[in-house]
Amino acid sequence: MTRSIDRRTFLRHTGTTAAVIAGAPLFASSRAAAAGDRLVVAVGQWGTETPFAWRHVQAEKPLWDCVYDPLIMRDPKTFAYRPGLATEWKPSNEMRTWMFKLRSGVRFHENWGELTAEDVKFTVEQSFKPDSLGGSAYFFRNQLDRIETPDKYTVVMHFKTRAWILPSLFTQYVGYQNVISKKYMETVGEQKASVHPIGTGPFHHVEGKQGDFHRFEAVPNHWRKTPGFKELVIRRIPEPATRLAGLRAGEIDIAQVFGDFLEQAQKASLRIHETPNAAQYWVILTGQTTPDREDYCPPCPWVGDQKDPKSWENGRKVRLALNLAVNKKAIMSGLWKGKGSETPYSYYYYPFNKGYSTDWKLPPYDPERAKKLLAEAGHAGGFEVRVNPYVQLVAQDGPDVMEAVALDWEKIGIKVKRVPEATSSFGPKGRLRKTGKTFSVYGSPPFDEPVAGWERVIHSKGAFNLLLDGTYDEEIDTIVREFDAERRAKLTHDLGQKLYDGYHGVMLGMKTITWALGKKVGSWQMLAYVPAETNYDSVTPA
Amino acid sequence: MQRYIIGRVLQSVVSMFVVSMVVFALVRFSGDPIQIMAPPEASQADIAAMRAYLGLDRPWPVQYWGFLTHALHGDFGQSVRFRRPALDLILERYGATLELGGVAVLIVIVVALPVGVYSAVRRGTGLDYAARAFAALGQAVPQFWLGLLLALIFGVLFHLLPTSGHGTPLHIILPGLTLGWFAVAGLMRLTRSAMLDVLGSEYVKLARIKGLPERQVIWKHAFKNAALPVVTFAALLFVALLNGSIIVETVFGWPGLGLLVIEAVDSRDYPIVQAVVLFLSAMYIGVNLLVDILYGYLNPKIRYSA
Repeated sequence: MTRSIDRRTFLRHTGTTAAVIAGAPLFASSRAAAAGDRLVVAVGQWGTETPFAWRHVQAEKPLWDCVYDPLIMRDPKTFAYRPGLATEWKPSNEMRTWMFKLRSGVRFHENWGELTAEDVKFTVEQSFKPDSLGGSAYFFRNQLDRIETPDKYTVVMHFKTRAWILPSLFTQYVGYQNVISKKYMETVGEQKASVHPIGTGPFHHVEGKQGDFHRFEAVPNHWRKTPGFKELVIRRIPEPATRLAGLRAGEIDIAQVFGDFLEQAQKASLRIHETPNAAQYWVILTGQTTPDREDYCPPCPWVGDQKDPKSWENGRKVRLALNLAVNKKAIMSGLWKGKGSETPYSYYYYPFNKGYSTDWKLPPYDPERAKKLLAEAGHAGGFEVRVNPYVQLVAQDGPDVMEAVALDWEKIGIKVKRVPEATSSFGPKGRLRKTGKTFSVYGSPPFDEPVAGWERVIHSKGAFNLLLDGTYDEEIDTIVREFDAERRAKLTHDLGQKLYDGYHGVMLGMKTITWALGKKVGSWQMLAYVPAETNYDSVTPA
Repeated sequence: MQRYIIGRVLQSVVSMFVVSMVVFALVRFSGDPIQIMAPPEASQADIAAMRAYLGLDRPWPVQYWGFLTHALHGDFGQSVRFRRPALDLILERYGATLELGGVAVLIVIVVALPVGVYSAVRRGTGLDYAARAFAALGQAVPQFWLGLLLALIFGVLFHLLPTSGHGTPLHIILPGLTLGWFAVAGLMRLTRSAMLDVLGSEYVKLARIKGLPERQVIWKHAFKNAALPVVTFAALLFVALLNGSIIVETVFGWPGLGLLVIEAVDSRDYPIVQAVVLFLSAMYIGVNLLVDILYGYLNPKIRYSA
């Protein structure tokens, strides 16, 4: 017997069915572990989201480092090298050949086999792909001659030139070469492997959605350490206020907080975790470049003409005046909420670097002397400068810091024109030295040796100009060629001194990077000096 | 009628063509993705090689022709940033935006229609003013502020709803409210004015004289006739809300198209920006086309004057 149905009932049933179907994904049960075993980390941005070393831009590290092991680990307290996947590494042939002995018995996640020398070779050789632009691809493409794998656990790399910097390129945080499974990549292809990476790290990837979240599970009995939490979820939340709200609501366990958000987190009784002296801040005084560049500007008061000693000295006086005019303590207390220090430094020179000097003190706040110096340099009435208050990878509070500096400069008669421009369009201008002589605030991460940074951003052939170009090319080249560590340290110190004495940038201090922790988190041993999330495996439950 | 439909379809095709040209040119005027992607180690030679590999060194007309012909086959290219087909990424994110837009429209309809009808029926009363003020507030309050305020109240203070994210029905409430409240005022005003027009008409007066219950007069006779422009507006509103979800998605970390496109713009990810803009434009133009055709059927005057 057929049951009749009226129009109204039919519509009601249809509507209900449609609602159930539409809403089903929303109610889908989560495969997640119980909340107590789950560590939720929120990060503001994670770069290109690629897990591959040859495409990395370093911003991906807080997302993917937990899946991989580096060849060389670091001591979390001193930043010194420690054995990782490689139990030993040594150079020969005047550092043109490097041999790595691998740890045996390390297995890739999801039964993709044991890590061998072939995997390391395969990973490094991806740098030769024509579209490999990330990580250290440039170095390997230009310097690497060949790789040999004499046995299962030995990798020998032959370089065209002396490569003393090589170990650094395989280290935790500074290096990019997370070792991937050759077998996995060749089986599933790069595209699939990029959304479900397989590594040997303390967490294995379970699921994720690009731009949203990634979920990982702890690897039991991992050779490094079994992580304290069974599950790790890394969420991307670009808005800092939302991250803080999540922390306060107990939905998030770890998130970076700074500025007013740091103060609010403290008021909300959230525990603050710190990495002291993690980022050197300075203002880039563009224009100090080589004559072939558009930004080159000898008439600019803060640059001067190198061929004219008086003009060159006047440029230095103006730069010193720009340093003295800024109240660094006010920035540290007002904007960094006390989480900054006057630890001495020269650009890219950290206290752990060999040749570091405690004499490199932050220039004091002395606006009167600044005015006098301006007058001596022939700029008693001040001059106009352009500044771009923009967010930089490490200096996320760049706009606020730039404004504080601008207000101080205005007090000594400098006219500051604010020209806001997004990172995406301003960054490339820095690479091309076409900023229109526009200043900005920069936050520097650490390198194993300062020259690694100088080579990239102070050399006229370097990718960027984040301080000055050309003047010290010869010194940088000499240091890079020197493979005796002690002699290199001496040369590095000497250049550090010159850079300090030249006041090429406006030194603002070293910032402590701060995270707020939820109630579930006990301790967290991060890497010293690193301004990003590291070592999730070391987080212990409260 | 056939001629009318063909004319409208042709207009839509031309609109899409113009949109594709404009978005293609604009993203290229705005900067170079390779400069953004390249790490500090990369030399100018590396950058040039990468540009050639991705075909970005070819003349614009050649690039445009390639883009257009591939797009017609559903291939919008590979995301420069994610190294995945742009269409895959859009389809992955589209569901979340659709959910958000759907819930927001639902909120708009549930709030705006009764309030609009009520305001028309009780015109000039204190409650009419209060309802209109409430709706207008949604338009006046910035979405990023409202979103954070709602997260603070319902997430942090009362622990009733999640402050961000996606995945359960609870996650959608706050972003849906934030997005929807903004649009309530528009639909409410339209409903109110359409109802006021209809309530003064002869057939409504006749229905009342016949002694029909007031509820029946309002909802069955008046509202049904006032609903046509309201339904049209609601359809367009849905598409407009999809386009306007960028701020809400950013505030709530909602993994939809808005967040995808804002990041794509920031990293000059041409294929993504082009594909998303075209996708949303196609929806907008498609819905407009549908509405035009429906109007043509419903109102012959429009058909003949076209």
